[in-house]
Amino acid sequence: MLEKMIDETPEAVFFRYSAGCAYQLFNLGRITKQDYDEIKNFRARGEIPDRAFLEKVYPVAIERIKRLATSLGRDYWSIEIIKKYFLEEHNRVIDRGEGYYAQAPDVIKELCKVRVGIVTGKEDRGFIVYTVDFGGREEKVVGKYLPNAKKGDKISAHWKEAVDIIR
Amino acid sequence: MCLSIPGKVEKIENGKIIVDYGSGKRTADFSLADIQEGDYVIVKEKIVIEKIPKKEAEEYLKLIKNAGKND
Repeated sequence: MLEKMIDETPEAVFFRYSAGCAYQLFNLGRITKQDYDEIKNFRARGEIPDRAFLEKVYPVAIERIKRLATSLGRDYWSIEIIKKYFLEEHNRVIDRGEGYYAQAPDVIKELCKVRVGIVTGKEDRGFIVYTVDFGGREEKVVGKYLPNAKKGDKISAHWKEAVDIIR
Repeated sequence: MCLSIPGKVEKIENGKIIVDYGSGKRTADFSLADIQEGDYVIVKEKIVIEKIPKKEAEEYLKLIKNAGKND
C-alpha cells in the first residue's frame, strides 16, 4: 500500500519532505481545508499527489526550489534539486526567521527543520519506529514512509518522520 | 494519520491517553514517553513521539491561531 510513498520519484521525495508541514500551512491559512484533507487522504492511501497539486499547495517551497534549480541550470522537478533544497536551504529559511518563524518557539523550529542523524535502533509497532542519534541526543522517529533504513544508516527526518536515507 | 501539532493530554484512560487538539480529540499510545495529564505531546501514527514543554506548546498554538487570523 505504501510503495508509492516510498518510491524514489521527484513527487514522492517532495511529498515525503513536505507533508509534515501541511498542518502548519492549514493553520496559517495558506492552504484550504479541502487541500489539507486531500493531503491526509493521499498519505492514508500511501499515494503521491501529482505535480500540479503539489505546486498549488506548496507554492513557496516550489518557488524556492525553482530558484535553486535555475541557479544550477537544472530542472526543478529533479530529485537531486529537491533534496538539496530540503537538506540545505530549508533550514536556512527557518534560521533567518522568515515569516512566522520569527516568533516560533525554538522547540517548534527544531521540529520544522530537516535534521540528519544516525539510526541506532529500529522497532516494529505495526509501522517502523527508529531511534535516531541527532548529534548526541537520541530521539524516536516514525519510519512509516521510510521503513527500509538500517542501524548505522544516516537518515533525514522532518517533523519526527524519517524521510530519506542519506547516501 | 498524524497531526504535526502539539495536543494537550486530557486524561489517561485504560492504558491510552486522550489528546485534545481543540478541534477534536484523539486517543494515543504513550509507551514511548513518560506522560502525565496536562502535558503537550506530538503524536505520530497514534503514538506519542515527543513531549513539548507547556510554555512553548501554548506559545506556538497561540502563534499559529493568530497568524491564521491575520492572513
